[in-house]
Amino acid sequence: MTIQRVFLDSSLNSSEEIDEILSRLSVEPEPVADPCVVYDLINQADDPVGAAKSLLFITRNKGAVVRPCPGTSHYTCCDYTILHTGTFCTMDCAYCILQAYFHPPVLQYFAGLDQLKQPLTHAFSQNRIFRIGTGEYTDSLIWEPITPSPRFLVNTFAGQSNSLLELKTKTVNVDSLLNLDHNRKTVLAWSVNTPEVIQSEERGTTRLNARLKAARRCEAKGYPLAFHFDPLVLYDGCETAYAQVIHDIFSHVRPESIVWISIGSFRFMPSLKPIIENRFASSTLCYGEFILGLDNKMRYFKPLRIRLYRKLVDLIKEYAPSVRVYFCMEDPEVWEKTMGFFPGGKGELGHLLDRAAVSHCRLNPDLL
Amino acid sequence: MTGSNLLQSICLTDIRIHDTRFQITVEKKDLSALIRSIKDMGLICPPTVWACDGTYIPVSGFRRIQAVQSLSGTKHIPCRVMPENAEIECAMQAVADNAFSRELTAAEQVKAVQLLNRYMDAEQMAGQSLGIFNRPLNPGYISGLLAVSTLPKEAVGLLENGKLSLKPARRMAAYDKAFIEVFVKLFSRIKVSSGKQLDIITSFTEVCKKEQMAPGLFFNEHEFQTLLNLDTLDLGQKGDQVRQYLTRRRFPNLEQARQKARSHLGRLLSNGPFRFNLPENFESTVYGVSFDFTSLDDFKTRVRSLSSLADHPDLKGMLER
Ligand code: SF4
Repeated sequence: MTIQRVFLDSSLNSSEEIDEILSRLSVEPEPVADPCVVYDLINQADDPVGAAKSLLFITRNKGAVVRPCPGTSHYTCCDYTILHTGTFCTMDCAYCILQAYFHPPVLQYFAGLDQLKQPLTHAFSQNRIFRIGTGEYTDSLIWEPITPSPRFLVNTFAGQSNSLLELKTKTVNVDSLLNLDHNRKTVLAWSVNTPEVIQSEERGTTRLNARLKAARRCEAKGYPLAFHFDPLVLYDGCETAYAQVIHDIFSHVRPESIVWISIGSFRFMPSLKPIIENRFASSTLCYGEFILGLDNKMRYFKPLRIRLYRKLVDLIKEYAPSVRVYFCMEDPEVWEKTMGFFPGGKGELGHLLDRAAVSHCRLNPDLL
Repeated sequence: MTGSNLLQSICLTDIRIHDTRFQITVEKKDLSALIRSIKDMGLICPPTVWACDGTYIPVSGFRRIQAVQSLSGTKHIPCRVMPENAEIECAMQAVADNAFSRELTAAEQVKAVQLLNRYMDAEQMAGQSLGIFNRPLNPGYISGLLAVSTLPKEAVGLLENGKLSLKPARRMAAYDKAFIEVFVKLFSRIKVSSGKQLDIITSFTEVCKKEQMAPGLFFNEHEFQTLLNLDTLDLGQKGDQVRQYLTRRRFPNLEQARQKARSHLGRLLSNGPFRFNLPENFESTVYGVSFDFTSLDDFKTRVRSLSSLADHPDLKGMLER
């Protein structure tokens, strides 16, 4: 998706960061004093979600920069911390929750690296482990080719020992990061899916093979890696196809380089369904066997989730017995039936992941 | 010829009774009661006609005009005559005359907005809805009715005979022709509530999309047609069967699990007066059981009988997931 218009919050002071972004976008910025100008423009479009992907609003984050991941009720969450660097995405995935999450969706880049410094310094000074990611409300690396932000974060995290930064992406935008002295504090993570799902449900993302090659380049530079099978989509032949993805991962990178692999099947707020139906007319994503979950999100009928999870977990364990595999938002029954245990105590899943973080990223083990 | 909106005696042969452009009501064949009433009491409420090109076009009171025409020896009828330049007012009055005497049926609402849409858009109709429809209507609702008016006339026929409700019809209007044709055929052969119609439309569409099958092909499948052709069922029962079949086809695993649980439950329930609550969609693992009792002894008996269920194979079967 190409950026067609750039709106610049007129309250922003000029800075090297903004100059760098603007110099790399061949679009004249339009100053706006009131963000409603951008919101209205998006809301008036026939397809606000699609329109929002080509309108970049460079502004400042007016809320909390560092915030705990909201998780979801009834399903086990991993106590993740979100670093809020921007919203929405230039790529376009049918299953993307962000289509229904923001009202309206706005492609925002939060300028002001100084704004990130203070809350991060605060986190770095605490006696606990943080797993911090920027990929909850956006893709972590969409702006890598035109902004200094990912470089800044990798460098900032390199100088401390209690926090891991996870940059989660479907791009291959890693060039500017390869030669940084990351001190293993940044995990480069890819969301992966089968080539069929990538082809049918993702627009503007990179192919699986390209993602895995980028992962291999990062591995060669000493970066710890992670993979997220999220969302798993159930279709005829999906078990074989996901098994092939696992095989492909391990034929590109070594198990020792992988901090964790997460697994989560497609789940969605009911309000996402009409959006997918309107925006992705040929997608069959919504027509799986979904039921209303305990958190009021649609999920695949549980035995179907468990059947696929079992296959994937067993296979991953064959390739990489010691890699931490975890579920994103699943319940005790799913854990027990697929992993044989349930990290049900308060903060237990988080603690398991902290341990993986400590051992792969050389964080302070005394903080466990 | 010009006229005013006043009562005039009009020659029956000057009225173009077959010009139904202003008619929003459903034609009812039997006029005998109305004829009887006119014979006994005269024409209490005169019809309205529009003076147009030297003749008169009925605006409201179609049946009254027909009834008077059938009275032998009657040549004239008193009518309120709308002037030639009042075509829009005629359309509004055609709707209002009905809407102020009773609630319009779904089919009449559709015909009404279709008529008015010749002269005004949904926004304008909404603005004047209180005066025309005797109730406020919003532009979205009117647009929905306009969408329904684009359905084939057989669909509007289904609205008229109560086999199709407005909300499902609005949903249908959003689909392409192949789906609409199938839904018209399907709903002409069953009769279910509006909620079930919506369920059927959703499940049918989703099965077609999921299985990437043309709607006509799915509809003509042997299993589907067998259900529709069952002589032993009335239209309501057929509708329920169709709905259940579509649910099974749309959610095969879930339905199979439900079926299995139901058969275990059926056998368990024959063992005592207990009520079991199964987790909805089998997502949670929490089951419930309850019972009533009338005395301490009764309570003790029930508890004993409940505890004996612990080893019942159907309880184990039900809990197996
Ligand atoms: S890459 Fe991620 S954030 Fe971007 S559209 Fe796809 S799912 Fe959404």
